[in-house]
Amino acid sequence: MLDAATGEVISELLAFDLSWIVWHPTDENQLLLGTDQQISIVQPFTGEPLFTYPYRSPFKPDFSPDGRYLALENGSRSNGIVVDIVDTANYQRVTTVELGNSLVEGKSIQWLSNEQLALVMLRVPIEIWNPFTTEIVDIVSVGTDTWNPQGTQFLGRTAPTDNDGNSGIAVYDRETEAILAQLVYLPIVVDDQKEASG
Amino acid sequence: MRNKALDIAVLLIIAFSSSMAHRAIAQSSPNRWGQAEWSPDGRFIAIFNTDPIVNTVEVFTADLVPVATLQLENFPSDFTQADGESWRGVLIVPLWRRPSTVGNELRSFARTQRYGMHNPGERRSH
Repeated sequence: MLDAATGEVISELLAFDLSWIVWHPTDENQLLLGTDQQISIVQPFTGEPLFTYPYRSPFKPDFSPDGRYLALENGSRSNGIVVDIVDTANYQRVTTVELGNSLVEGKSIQWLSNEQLALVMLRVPIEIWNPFTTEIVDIVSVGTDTWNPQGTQFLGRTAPTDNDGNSGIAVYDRETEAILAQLVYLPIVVDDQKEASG
Repeated sequence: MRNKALDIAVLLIIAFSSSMAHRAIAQSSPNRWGQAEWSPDGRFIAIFNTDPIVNTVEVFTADLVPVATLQLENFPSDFTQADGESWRGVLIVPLWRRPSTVGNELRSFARTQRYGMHNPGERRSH
């Protein structure tokens, strides 16, 4: 870990096959490291291990905005992606919810508010759950890459914008699913003859 | 007559005011977008460009106006090319640590050579 201002090395965190890193949103002394074998909570400035969680969570987990809960895939087989909600005071499981189905190609889990949880994935529809009541509170019909912190907008893909089939990206409004802003690929075409004569 | 598309990495901003309901940002070369992360204060979006030739993290405002490009160089020995999953953790988490100073952090962090990064701190143009 580096000091952003000086570039000095503050600590070195040992983790093999690191899949993701998540920083606690309200307690900077907790950093989650995910590997193929386990989740480790470490003190980021010293590297001291605080807790090891025997979970394998290919989906990047997420802390609730208030930092009270951690949502992480627990790896068990089911019809859906089984997500445990863990109290970050003691890292004990509070409840479990199944999101989507087990065949989805999800990327991560993301809290949209302290009571709303969704898988971040390109396959639709995307169900937004209240994990504490296990109710679906909303459905989004556009694939998502990431959500804004307020859970009101998300980054998603557009139809392919070039000849190779590469998708563009756009920011969508959650409520209307309208595009608010997007990147559009516009190739610059130059006439070779004019270029040569010039 | 043969035409060719120039791969100029200049990001052009086209402002559509009253004629369009949303803002459209034109880019002159296609990107292969990978992992994305929204900053905790909601102001910025960082997206990994998975093109192995480019290997960059592009930073945009929340309405997709380009802000900065992080060019990744000299990957650690066990990387043969940029790995969006891993680099996102290494790069973007520290960048977003203090969102109020994210601009300074982008520049400062990029000056460090440990991970072989440099950040031009401005839009690409070459």
